[in-house]
Amino acid sequence: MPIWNVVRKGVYHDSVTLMRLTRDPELLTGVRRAAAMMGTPPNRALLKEAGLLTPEGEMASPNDLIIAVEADEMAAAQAGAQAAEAALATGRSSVLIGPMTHRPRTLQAAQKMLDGANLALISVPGLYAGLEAMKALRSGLHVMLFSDNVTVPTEIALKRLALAKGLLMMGPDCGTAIINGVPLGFANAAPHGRIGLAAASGTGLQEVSCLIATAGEGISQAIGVGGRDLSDEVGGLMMSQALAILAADAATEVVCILGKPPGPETWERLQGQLAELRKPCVVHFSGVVSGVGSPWHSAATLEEVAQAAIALACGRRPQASEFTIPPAEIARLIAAATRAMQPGQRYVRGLYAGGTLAYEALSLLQAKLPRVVPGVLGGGEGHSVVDLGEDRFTVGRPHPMIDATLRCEWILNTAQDPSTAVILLDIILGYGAHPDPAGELLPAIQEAMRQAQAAGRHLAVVASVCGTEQDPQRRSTQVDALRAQGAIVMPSNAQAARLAAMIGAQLTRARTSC
Amino acid sequence: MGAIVTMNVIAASASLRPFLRAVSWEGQIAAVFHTSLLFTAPDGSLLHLHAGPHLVSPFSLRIDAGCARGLHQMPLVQGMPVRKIGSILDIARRLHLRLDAITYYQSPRQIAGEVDPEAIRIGRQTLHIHGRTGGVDRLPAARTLITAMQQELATSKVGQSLEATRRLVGLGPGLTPSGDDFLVGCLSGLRLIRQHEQAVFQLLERWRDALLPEIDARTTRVGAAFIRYALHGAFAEVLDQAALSLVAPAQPPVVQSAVGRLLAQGETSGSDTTRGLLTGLEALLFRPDREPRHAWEAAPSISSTSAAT
Repeated sequence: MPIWNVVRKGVYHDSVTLMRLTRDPELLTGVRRAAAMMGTPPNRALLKEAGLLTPEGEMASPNDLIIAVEADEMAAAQAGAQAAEAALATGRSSVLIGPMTHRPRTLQAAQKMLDGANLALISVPGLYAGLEAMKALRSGLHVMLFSDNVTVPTEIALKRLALAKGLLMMGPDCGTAIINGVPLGFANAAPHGRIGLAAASGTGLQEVSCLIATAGEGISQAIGVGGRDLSDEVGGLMMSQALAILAADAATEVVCILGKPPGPETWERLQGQLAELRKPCVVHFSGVVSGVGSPWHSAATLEEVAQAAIALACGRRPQASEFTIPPAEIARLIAAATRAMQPGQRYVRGLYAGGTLAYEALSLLQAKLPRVVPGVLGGGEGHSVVDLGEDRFTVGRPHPMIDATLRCEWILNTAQDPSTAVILLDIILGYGAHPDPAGELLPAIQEAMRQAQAAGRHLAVVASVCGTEQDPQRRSTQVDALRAQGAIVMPSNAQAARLAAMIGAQLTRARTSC
Repeated sequence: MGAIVTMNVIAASASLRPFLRAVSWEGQIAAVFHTSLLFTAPDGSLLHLHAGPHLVSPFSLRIDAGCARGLHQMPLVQGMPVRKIGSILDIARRLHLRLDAITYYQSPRQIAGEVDPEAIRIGRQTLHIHGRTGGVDRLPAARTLITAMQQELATSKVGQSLEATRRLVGLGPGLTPSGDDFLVGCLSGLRLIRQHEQAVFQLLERWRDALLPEIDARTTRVGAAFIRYALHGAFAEVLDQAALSLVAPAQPPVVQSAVGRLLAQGETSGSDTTRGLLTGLEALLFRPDREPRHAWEAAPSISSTSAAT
């Protein structure tokens, strides 16, 4: 039976890699046995006894690695050795045996693999999610529960258990967090800093953390609490815990909380907690405005949250501004966009991947334009914003942050509508998102513009990129790609929505004056 | 070249104090692992940089757990230079380790307690439930040697146990071969109560004198470092904690937690070290001159101690 030895001189690999070097070759057809051992005298003796040592292996020293393969024929032995060498070179398994092969199958096994782990990120079908989260909490782990479809009573039970144990129970349906500098779920690479966030909104948390990072500040902690946490049923159990954590965290100098409007009783309780926070605080709950003398700063948009937090961190008084680029440049952009539009082009059409960003755009359009279709589910006549990440659009297909196929279809269909003047987009970067979100959309944008032009229309595409320079997709690269295609890229979602609304308003004024 | 990342070293093994207090020296990266780095000082001594809550070797530098990801993402490769300059350890001009606020860890030298059979039973149970197979438990040669060692330790006859120990060094899979892990675990348990056991003390002295001169020829550089430190009484913090939990009146959660942490080290290293630790302590526990404290106590069969998983 052919035996093949490969000796790698003076190499050090951890034991996980060494075990894989044995497993990978044995998965190949024709390979009967494989071993990867350091060439110590006892190990060489072992390999010899097992009939797996060749003269090459015999020459190995204690600090050399011997990869030994026995196969039905020499070609298979060589292939086995090559598989092991490839695994060594890449540090990963080179044999395709399914994505779950080397992953732990239980929470307990995962804990064994990572000594000192104190947080479990759980993403399993909703039916089992509560149970797994309960197990994790009982074993003393903080939990980030990515899964949805967890019942409200289960959520309450989980959060009460977490509170009793002094743990975080982020979620269910929590997509984003940055804990101790580690981005979890759909999060961005933001530097560590002095601003702490707690949010009942995934993309809201992403937008704020990215804008803070872009401004040169950093995040101490970004805690997601799940979309239902602020309802009166759940009572803001985890928002309250997150506030307490941020209040006690020495690295956090400014606290920001954001999300959908809380239930009245929950908001009442949170106000009491905010009053005793003893740190500057920014609050962004759509529709909630601070009263005179409130101890916190109320922000109208996600960008304003970031701006206010940075100002407070620097000891300045927060000042809201609609645009961070000069008014003359805004006027130029509006003029350039509307110049070649046809009389029938009237509406702004937002096609979004991020839910919170979609709602923010909707409220900003409603503030400046008449005839805005309510809700984010599409349909109706007028200006509109559609959240393509809503459940009704994602049944049986990936979320648009991962796969842009559906959004490309919507871009093309929307562009064919002669009443469309502006297509408003969000591009979300970060861990978990598509590796090149702009690149995915660009062919559709290009085709949409070409078709509009062929029909004698000019189509404006206004976008914002939610991301940082440190993200895997790199924000500036994505911005440049969009601009090269003729899209107007604004510094934030709020500014993109405002610009789109101003273009829409300009068109309305032009029609009226005619 | 990108910006230099700075991390604070929180804790270090006491054995590294001379290197970390020296004004300057130059070494190099010896290995880049998934979650840790190994580098060498000018005399060839190893330094093991890792994150996490405990020191996992007797030559560890520990950084905050939150830095693990940053460490993993560094573009570092074997052979890159490491320079000690004042209170900074410069790793390939990419990573600066600040050394001015280190807590040094020293393995305990003396323990007033004694082995609690109930603690050992819980330790065995934890190993049985959570331990991994594939190390010494799968090597017939190792099992024979371990049996010989157990018998010799139980009767304090040094001669044959020395030969069995010598043959364990460098045996088995892993960067620290399983036999090395087993031996280090065994030494940890034996050393902890050596002040109360004159025979054990003499046995360890004999092992040290015999093994030190030949250790580099018999095992890997990393395995040799672990054994060399162990023969001088220096161990990983995780191992010490497990050993301490077993030589005190049994507190099940403490034993389960400490042994569980040790079991989680490496692929099979933690399990092999735990097997060694339990074997060493059991050898003391079941010495013929000792009166049983519990009804269930009886000399363990060979199978129950060597193939617990």
